[in-house]
Amino acid sequence: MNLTISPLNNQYRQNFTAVKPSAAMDVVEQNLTKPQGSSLFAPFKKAYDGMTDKIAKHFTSKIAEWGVLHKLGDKFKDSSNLFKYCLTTGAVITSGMYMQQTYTNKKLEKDRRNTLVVNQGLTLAISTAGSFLLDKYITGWWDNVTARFAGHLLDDKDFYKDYLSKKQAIIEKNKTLAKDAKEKMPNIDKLIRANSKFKNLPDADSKALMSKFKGMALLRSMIVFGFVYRFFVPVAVTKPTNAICEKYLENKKAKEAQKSA
Amino acid sequence: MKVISIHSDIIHQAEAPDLLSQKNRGKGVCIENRGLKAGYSGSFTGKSEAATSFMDKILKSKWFGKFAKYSNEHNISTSALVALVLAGIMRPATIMSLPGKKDKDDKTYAAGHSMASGIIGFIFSTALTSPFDESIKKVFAEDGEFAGPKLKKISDEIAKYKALEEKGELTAESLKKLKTLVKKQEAMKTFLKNVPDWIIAVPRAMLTIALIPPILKYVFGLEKKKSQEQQPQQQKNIQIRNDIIDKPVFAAFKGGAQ
Repeated sequence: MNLTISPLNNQYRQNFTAVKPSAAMDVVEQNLTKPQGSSLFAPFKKAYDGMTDKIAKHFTSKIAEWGVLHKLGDKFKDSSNLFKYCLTTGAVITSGMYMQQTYTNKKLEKDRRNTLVVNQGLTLAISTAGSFLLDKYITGWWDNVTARFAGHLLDDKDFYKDYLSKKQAIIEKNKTLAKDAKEKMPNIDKLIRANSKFKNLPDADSKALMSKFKGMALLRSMIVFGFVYRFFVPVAVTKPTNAICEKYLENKKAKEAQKSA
Repeated sequence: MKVISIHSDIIHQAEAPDLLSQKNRGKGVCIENRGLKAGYSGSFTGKSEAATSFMDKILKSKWFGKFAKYSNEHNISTSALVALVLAGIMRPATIMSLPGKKDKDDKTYAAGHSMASGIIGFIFSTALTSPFDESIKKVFAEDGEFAGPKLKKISDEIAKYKALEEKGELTAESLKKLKTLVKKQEAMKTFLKNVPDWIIAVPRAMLTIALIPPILKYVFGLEKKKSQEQQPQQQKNIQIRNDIIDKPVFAAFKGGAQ
């Protein structure tokens, strides 16, 4: 005999039909991973492909042969900060242009121009240093996320747990070691390459996986630098620094007025 | 007799304290400190199960994998996309929610300005650099169809060492050379992918400055108030009124506590 015991007051059942976050994620996934082989876009795709072929043949291949690029490649091959340097250079060029525009703006007084240029320069320098620091600060946490991501990509449930246990073991070991003798954290790149499931992957799949893994590392710096340059500085830094500039100019003018009087 | 299911309410009713009683008020559903089982503590920290499963859901999804790959292949476009999210959504939301004496119209204008700059930056960067990124992929492809002699030499050497590695004949010195060549190739790719950002930085900034007012006017329906012209007029009016009041004629009419 089968017996089902139900709740005592089951006469009213709440009809709650809100979309669960997981269901919303499924919809996003379905839309973003739709097959792209539509015949409607085939001529455009073909034209785009032809255009990129021409760029590769007549432009990019020639730049890739450039001696300076090979020298730079040799010089920065061991740098883990190369992408961050590239982001910083872009920010310096853009800020430099704004600084130059401010400096040559004849509508502004000379004192104001100089002060604004110094303000922009200092803001750039401090925010760049802040970006590097923040990037370094979140690297440990981001590595954990990357290890979790790699575990999913490899379909290896133990990858993330193994990574955390290795990391914990090194942390414990480093507590007893001197500053110079401390061990480095496990390299996820090496752990992925040493994984048995990765080794059994076809060449194309392993390359795609490594591309996703490298993208994760770049994504961290993109988010950090973007957050500092495009959010934190305009929202939290620009106003106080402008106020300081105004105060400085007021004081300077007051002193000059006192002197002349 | 087989019991198929028992609703947990029955068990919980026996275990859970009366949360609405005067004694337990303010403790919510977190009853861990009383030595009883607490299913939900109300926290949403990085360690909570809900947050972990949500993160897993994102990391497992195909779109995130594609996005990570896109980030590696299209550095500038992804940076612009991150900037679009920050300048187009987060910054306007923060500007609008900030307390302050600032006029609401000014806030709306600043938020619109931020959104417009994010949109222009993303469209301009993606349109200009995506074909170039594709060409970089083709130049560094293993078939070497578009590679020049110097690049081909590096690719051939890498292929030679990799063949030795597969055979298990790679010496320590060769392994070192292989690593050096791969790293050099990666550094060159990073430079090639990001140098266009330096080249388009100035025209992009100029285009942003030029396009923001028409975008704000025709897309968002916003126009900057001519506050600089209005303010001196207002100050003048206030000064005139003060002058009138300070004149000896009005001294007799001045009231207030003496």
